[in-house]
Amino acid sequence: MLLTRQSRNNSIREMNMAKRVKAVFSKAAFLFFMLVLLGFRPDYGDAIVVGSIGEPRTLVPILASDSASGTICGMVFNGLVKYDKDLKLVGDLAERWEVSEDGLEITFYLRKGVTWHDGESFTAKDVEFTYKSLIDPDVRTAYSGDFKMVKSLEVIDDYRLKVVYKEAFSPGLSSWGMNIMPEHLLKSEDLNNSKFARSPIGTGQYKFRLWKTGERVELESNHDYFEGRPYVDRYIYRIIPDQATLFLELRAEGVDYIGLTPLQFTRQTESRFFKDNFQKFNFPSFGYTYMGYNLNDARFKDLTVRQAINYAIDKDEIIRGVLLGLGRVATGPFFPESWAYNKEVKAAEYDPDKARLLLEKAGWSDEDGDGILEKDGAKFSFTVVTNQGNEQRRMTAEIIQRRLKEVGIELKIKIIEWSAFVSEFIDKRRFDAVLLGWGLGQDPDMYDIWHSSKTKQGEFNFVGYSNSEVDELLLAGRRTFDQQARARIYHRVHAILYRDQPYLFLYVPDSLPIIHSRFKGIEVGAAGIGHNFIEWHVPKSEQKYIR
Amino acid sequence: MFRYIFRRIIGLVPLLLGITIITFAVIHLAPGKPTDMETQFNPKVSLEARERIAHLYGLDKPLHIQYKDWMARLVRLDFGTSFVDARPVIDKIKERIPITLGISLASIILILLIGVPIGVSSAVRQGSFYDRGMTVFVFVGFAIPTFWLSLILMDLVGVRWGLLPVSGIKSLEFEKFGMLEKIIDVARHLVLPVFVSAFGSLAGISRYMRSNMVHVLKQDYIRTARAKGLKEKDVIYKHALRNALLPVVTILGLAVPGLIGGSVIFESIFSIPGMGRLFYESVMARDYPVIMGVLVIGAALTLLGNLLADVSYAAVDPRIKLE
Amino acid sequence: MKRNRNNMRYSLKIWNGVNKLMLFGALVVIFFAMVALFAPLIAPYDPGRIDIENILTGPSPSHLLGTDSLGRDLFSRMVYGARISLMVGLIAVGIAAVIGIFLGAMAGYYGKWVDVLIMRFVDIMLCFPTFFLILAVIALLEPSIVNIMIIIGVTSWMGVARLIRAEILSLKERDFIYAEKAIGASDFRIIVRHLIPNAMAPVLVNITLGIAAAILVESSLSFLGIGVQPPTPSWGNILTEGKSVMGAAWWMVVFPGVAIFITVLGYNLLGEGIREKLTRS
Repeated sequence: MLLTRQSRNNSIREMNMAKRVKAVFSKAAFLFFMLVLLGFRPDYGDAIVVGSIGEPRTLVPILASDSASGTICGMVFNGLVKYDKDLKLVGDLAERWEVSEDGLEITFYLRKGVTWHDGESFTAKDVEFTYKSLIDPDVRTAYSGDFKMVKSLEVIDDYRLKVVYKEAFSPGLSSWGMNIMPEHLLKSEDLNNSKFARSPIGTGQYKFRLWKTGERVELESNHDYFEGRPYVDRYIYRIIPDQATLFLELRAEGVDYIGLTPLQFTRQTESRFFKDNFQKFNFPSFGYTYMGYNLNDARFKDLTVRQAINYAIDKDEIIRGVLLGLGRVATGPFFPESWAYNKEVKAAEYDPDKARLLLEKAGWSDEDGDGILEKDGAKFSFTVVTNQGNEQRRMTAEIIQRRLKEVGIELKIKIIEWSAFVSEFIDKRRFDAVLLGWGLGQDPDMYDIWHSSKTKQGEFNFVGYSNSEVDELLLAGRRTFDQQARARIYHRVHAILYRDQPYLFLYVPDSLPIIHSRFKGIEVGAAGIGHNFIEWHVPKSEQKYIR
Repeated sequence: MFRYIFRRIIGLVPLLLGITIITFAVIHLAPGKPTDMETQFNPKVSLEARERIAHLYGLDKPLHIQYKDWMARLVRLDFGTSFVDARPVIDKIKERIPITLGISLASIILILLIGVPIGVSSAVRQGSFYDRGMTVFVFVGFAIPTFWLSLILMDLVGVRWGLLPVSGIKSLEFEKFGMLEKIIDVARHLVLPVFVSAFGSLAGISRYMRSNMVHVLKQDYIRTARAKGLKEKDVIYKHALRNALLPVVTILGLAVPGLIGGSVIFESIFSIPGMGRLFYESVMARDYPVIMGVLVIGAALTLLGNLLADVSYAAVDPRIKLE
Repeated sequence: MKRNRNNMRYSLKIWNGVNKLMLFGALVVIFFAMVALFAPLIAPYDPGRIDIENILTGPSPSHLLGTDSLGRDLFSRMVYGARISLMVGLIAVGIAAVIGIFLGAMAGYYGKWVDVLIMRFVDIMLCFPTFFLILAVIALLEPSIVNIMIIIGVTSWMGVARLIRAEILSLKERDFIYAEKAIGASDFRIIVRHLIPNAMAPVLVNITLGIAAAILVESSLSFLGIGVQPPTPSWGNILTEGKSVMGAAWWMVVFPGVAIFITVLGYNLLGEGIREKLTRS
């Protein structure tokens, strides 16, 4: 294994968890520990009801691109590799792997004795089948891009396979986290129109049971799971499309597990009832919010202007106002707890005077005394476009609007429904600025977002960022396997991006899950909770759903 | 009469065709594409992949060819398959229509049962304290935002008092219930949604009923009936009521699209898997086959409903001639 | 004789009752119109003034109705929101009424192919869920206050048209219309002087309910994210924001909800009163 082990980062200590929750949690952990010492095993049984706004679209994992489908697929299927609680890549269906010196070949050694939910054995043939489906032009998968770099995949025997890349491609390894599908059930099916999409068979910790459209998806524990039988017997995914209803259901204990809004976290779950019956967690989410400039616009081509805006906006104020303090300032496009994140990059202090000075230096001044700056007779007025349905973005835009006005820039806000927003504004580059967020993958490769070649219609460098040094670094990052060497590369990318300000980096919001307190054994890692789901359990006396 | 009905039904065909063409053009020309996916960008989804998916959906063909393909399938009663989850459109609609239709019918019956008597009695006791009280009552229902009333009731009845379930249409353990338990379970889930939707629509029918009744009570034939010395009760319930009820038929005809259309906001709040949500989600995902399917079925039923309203109106009102 | 006296009393009672309710309606309508008109004089704060230190504080002497999720003064936003909401309601229904009365009268009076054409058009429009029509128009127009008024107007005239037509269909068979025709009155005169005023009663109910409905439609548009754009306040978008915070801040839904409710009630009572007068004369 050529991947160097990264020492476990100290993220957990930094985690800003409410004290009381921590107390309850450590008490629970202590009890759990004692029970194990005494030779007790946690009880099996009960069900967890997870509340969700969205409904899964399809349970064919390579076709699933929404988060609800991804959640369910993650319970039912496994990849070859996965990220553990410290965000380290470890084996899942693969026991281990080897990367050749030149980085062109990866050999996976698969776990033996793993069976599909229907009893068939899992073998390298299934991996080969999944790969072939991913690159099949007739399959409507959105993930073919990751596997374009693969030259060939050879099955050596049932439990060994070799992947050969056209060129060294380090993000390739994590792309094998893709859920593996059973060949014996799907080889003669049309994946696009298969019944499998609503009755999947996987290798995962839970088996699919039923799906009532618009109501719920139900899974039951896989007693033969290769990491052991999960303690919670049933996993029920309830679809409740309204956030307010979801919260009422939580109070009525109709659901056990939802994500809270910052307001619900700080003001609505402080009562006795919630303290007695629920446990709350908070940790950084995998995503950040930013305002991206159209860098082809003459005003935003000027780096001084972009830097001025960075000084004019008080990010802490936005976090206090929009997230009620439950988030942190973003200084770049990486997950704050990951090894790629450059802790040396410090966010600029809020300094409106400096902003005014910089704007003046860039040639903007208020000639007609109306409070708005002009240059060559044109007012500094621009429109920020964002998508409908995201209250946090709307409020962020309103705060930015107010702060920009104070330095003499007029901002207009336009909120457009998502699909129209993408095709009319993003794809056609018809915007001055956009307020959006990126979800982050665990691998820091960001070639598709920042490389200067990715500016065509429909591609993701829609702001039109171009920096030859970043271009080279991004390519180097893809060719390097050594994590320390990669970290150096991405630290540099991080620093350059913050200096260049193609985006006004704003904040990384926290994830705010709340879970019924009868569930014990929940462990918080750098990636949040859920990584040890099979160890969650409910003592017999507290079990609620008994068959 | 029958010739008229026959002619109207034949007339529906070009109408429906026109509707499909307009709808098809509008949804395909409206901004956005089915390949925009989700509500968040996913950098893992490459441009090539999006183009490939568009090709597999047939979206790279000229619009008129796409329409021709769609129509060719429709005449065989094949509504196609959803872009989102590849299920047949007709299946997706079939599992939702009974839910929406059931709730709509229940609330329409409730509206008629409460709204008509309120309207009539208010008209008879026009200007009284009762009349004014009822006016305020029905307008409270009309003016209270649906979501607000729903959430308050869910909070009180569902969470605080624990009398009824908060949301959904069935319990989690529904499959294990006996027949009677199942019926009671569904009924318990439907109490709040039906009440909320009926309360909101009470004003329409009862005010309409009241103004018709007031109008009718001033007519000559009522005066004649009174002059003949008929009892006031007979005058009102035999002569006036029948005439005042006529225009309500038109209103009911207008209510048909709502019957299967459902309402997004309402269904989302109560998390009812009905037609309103299906339609809203399909529009947001630009799931063209489902949008077309819902609109075509909806349009056909609406047109029939209107026809029915016209015919029954003519049947009960001799002053109207159908040519 | 006795019956006659009874009738007298009856009508007097009607007069009293209707007048009180109508008066109340008129007062409400005038009150909110004044509030809208003099918004800058009434509002104690700039409705856009953000105050992060005072997010969602309850009603207090300094903020009469409390503050919203950006710490802005709710009272000031409500006062300015009245402008937008009332304007949207009035103009949208005005547009709908003009289209509906014109097409409905044409169809009802001329009958034959005019009727067929117009009514088929109505049928087509009614076949589309309002939400779909709105989305289609939004796609072409982009959300703005003027466009929202147009959208609500052009998607809600069908009810008026059908009612007017139905009334005129039955009215034109009446003797007084035949009499008018016999003395050679022009079509225009018959429609405008006799048919429309006589057909207005149910339509007025429809229109008054319509103003209220338009105010509510504006709020559902906000709900779907295609309403009045921020930071401009409207009762609809305040209420929508209120929904996401209602568990922690009751004032964010109660005040806009009550304002909408009272206004809706006011317009309805006023409309009913006018209708009573119309039918009397």
